[in-house]
Amino acid sequence: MRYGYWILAVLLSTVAVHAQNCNAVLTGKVVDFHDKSLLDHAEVFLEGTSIGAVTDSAGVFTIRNICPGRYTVVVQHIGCEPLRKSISIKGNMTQVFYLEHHTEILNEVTITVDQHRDPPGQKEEKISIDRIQLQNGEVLGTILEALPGVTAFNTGNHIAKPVIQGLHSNRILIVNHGVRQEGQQWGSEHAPEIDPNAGGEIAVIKGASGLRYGTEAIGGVILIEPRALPSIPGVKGSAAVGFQSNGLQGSSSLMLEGSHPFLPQMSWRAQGSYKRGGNVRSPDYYLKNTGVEELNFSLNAGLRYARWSTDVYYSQFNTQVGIFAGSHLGSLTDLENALASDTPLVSAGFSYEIAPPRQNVAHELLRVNSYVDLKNDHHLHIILARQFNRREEYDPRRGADDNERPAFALNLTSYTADVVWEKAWSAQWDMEAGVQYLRRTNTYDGRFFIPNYVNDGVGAFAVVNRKWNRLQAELGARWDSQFFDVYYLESGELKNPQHQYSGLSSAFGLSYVMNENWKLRLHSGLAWRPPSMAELYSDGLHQGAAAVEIGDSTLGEERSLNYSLAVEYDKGHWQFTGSVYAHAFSNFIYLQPVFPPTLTIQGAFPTFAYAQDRANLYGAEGMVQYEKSGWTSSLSASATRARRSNGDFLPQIPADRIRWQGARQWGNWKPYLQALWVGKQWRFPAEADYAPPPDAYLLLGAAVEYRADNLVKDARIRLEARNLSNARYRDYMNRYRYYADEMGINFLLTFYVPF
Amino acid sequence: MKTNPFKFLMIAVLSTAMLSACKKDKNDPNDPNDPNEEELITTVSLYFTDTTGVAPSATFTFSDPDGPGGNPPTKFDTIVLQANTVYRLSLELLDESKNPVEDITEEVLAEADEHLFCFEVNGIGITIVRTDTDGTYELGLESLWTVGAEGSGSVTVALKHQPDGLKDGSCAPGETDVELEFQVMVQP
Repeated sequence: MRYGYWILAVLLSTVAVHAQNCNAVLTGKVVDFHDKSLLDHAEVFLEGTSIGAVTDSAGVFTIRNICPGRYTVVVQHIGCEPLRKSISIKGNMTQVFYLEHHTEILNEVTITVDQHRDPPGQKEEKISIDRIQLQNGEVLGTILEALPGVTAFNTGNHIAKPVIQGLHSNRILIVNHGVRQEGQQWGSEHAPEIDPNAGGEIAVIKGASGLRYGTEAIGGVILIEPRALPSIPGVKGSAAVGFQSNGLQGSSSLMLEGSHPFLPQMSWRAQGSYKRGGNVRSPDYYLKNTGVEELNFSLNAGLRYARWSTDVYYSQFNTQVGIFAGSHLGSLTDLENALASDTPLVSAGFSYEIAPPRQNVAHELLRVNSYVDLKNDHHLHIILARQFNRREEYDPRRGADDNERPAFALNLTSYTADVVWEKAWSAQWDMEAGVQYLRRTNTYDGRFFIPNYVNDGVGAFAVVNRKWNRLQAELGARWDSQFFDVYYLESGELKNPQHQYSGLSSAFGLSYVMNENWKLRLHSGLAWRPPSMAELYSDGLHQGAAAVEIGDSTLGEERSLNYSLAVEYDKGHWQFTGSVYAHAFSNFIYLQPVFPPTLTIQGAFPTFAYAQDRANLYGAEGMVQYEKSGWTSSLSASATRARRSNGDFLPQIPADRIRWQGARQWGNWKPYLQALWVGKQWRFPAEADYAPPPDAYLLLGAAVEYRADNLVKDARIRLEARNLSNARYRDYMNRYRYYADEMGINFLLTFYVPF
Repeated sequence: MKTNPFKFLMIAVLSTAMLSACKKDKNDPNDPNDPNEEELITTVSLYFTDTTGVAPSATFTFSDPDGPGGNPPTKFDTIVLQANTVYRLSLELLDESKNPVEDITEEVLAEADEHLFCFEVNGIGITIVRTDTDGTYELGLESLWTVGAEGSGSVTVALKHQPDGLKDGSCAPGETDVELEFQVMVQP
């Protein structure tokens, strides 16, 4: 009863919108750091709240009705990196914000440090929360494709693995709310188990990086940033609803957040999303069993005081994805028949039914994140997390009941503990250092794919950052050691081999502001990863790939040295960024064809064994943008090359591509036009593929966004058409390319309403 | 007793989170699952009998007792038949990785409407006709082989699994569970 009263009290008190003392005013100007010009149309807002303002033609803004407290002020202007400042508002105050391409703080306010640090040698690219909301119903891998140089490795439309600089799976590190994402990353049809709606903005750092988070950051790091909890009383939220015509997919997400009226330090957020889609259609036919159903939610609550903060975050991701029936094969003859046919051998109409073959994947994250400001500018950041991932794969089998039982399932439980110490000696000098412990326990049910294992890992790192007038440098190193205890049965006998892997990661980065228009970045990093369990212990038929894969338990660590050089230019209406990069692998793990093929009861299968070799991967990407009086036009291109030491090409490297986008701001309306050209990948290992890569293709798209401020402030409506010409095409990076065309025309409609 | 509402909320959130976090975790890594518990077809036997009872009956077998991968198949017989004879063929499918051995033939028969045996003759004069049905379409566990003149070639025996109404009497749809290319010798 006593608790009942308190529940009521909590609910009532948070729902009540309080105006208590919330009358502070923040005024100021937004100024260009270099030429001191006043910036109009800059957005200034208090993060985690709905209040903010846009500067007028004199660069002046006024934000009213602020409750006293500590806020992160975000200042955004087209062409500039957003500026984030932590600021304590006690009463009316005035503040001048200087914007430029590298964040430099002229005031004595401190930058919020619970965000990760931007590496000077690598440009970080971001997708804003707004953008993510307007892509309601899309998976993480697809959303990330908006960034230049990031592509996706697909298994149909609902399974997309991000590819950065030609690398994916175990060579990309995903950090979700400050925690390394632990799933079965090794599998090509295992997409990241993350709801993009659950977090804040998403940042991508290309190239070896992520000393703070551990191994596997060879190709890059994807950061799903935590979204700051609100700090003003009252309940707010947002809702998004999406619809896609192809597959008749409906999706929705809802977010509510608030803070306690009497205890503004305490705040919370609850968020959930749901989607359901049916069979998608290529221009000429439906793809049988390509539906999806997904239900996710997250809860977050925290306390924030001037000198410390702590928050608890819990999220759950549950998805059920159909695997295209025409892609599931029993023998090489099945594959040859599928390849010989222009259309899939299984036909279908529209249906929401998801039958075997299908995947059921659940992922759960519980994280406690604490941040303490110690004396003399020492800061301590402690993140404790538990993750649980269950992946079930269902095959069509004999016996009706057997379709309710997965052909195999993998259970991965991970615990991670990170302690990071940060210290700024001056505006020029700062440092962070930390230790990490992780423990992963993996078990399987059903068919053998990878063995059971227990993995303990420890790591320690330190990074020093130094700023001079025009130059900023970062130097860091990390050591990791990982121990694996492996368990499996061989002819009924328990085997328990053990492995230990260790290695050094490092990063050296420089950024140099040449003049007001030009900026240079240079980065060099060392990264490594332990071999995955699949690479060590696979032994048998990989049904999806129609191949026998044989692991090698003697494989060593994969190490890579990565370099990149980037230039950024910004003058008047023009903006340009361009970069070149190279990865030198000393022992790249790949699949080597083995002869003769393996004879099984389902016929003979091509056979591949995991092996290691030196490999080089290099590439370039660039983007040029022109912007004038509401018009924006941008062109971006990327290309990657990869070879082994004997000159053979590496598989699954994205083909060269060029993307153009034009947009026009017309009051509240913003129409877009888009074109994407993807070349034919003729650099591929011929002996390790069943069919030559598909032809080049051109995709057209159009969209229009409407800002419905007259209905609800900041409400948006977006209508998009993809594959406008209903082109028939196949993509080298989609595993269904052997069997079926890609999706035909698709209309997407999204409503986004903050309240 | 004074209860802080914040504390209560935190406890509530934490405990629901912990509850759902703990319930699924069950397996012990030291006790791996025996993958051989999964259904496999390891053995296909072909029982030939002469419809006229003149030529001797014969049995030919393919067997890979540990399934695909691992050890290679232990038995892959060449089919030897008499020229100008009509044989009745009965197929038997076994899972010999289990103890006791599991008879998959019965499962196929029980789901006859989802299965179809397909035969493809190469380089030799043999005509094969399925003689059993699932009520609508042929099944192929039983067939008649009309063997012509002597010679040698091959016959591919395939079992297609065609669930979800895929079965239409043709060999194209579905997934292949068995595909064995037997060498065939026809003797005078």
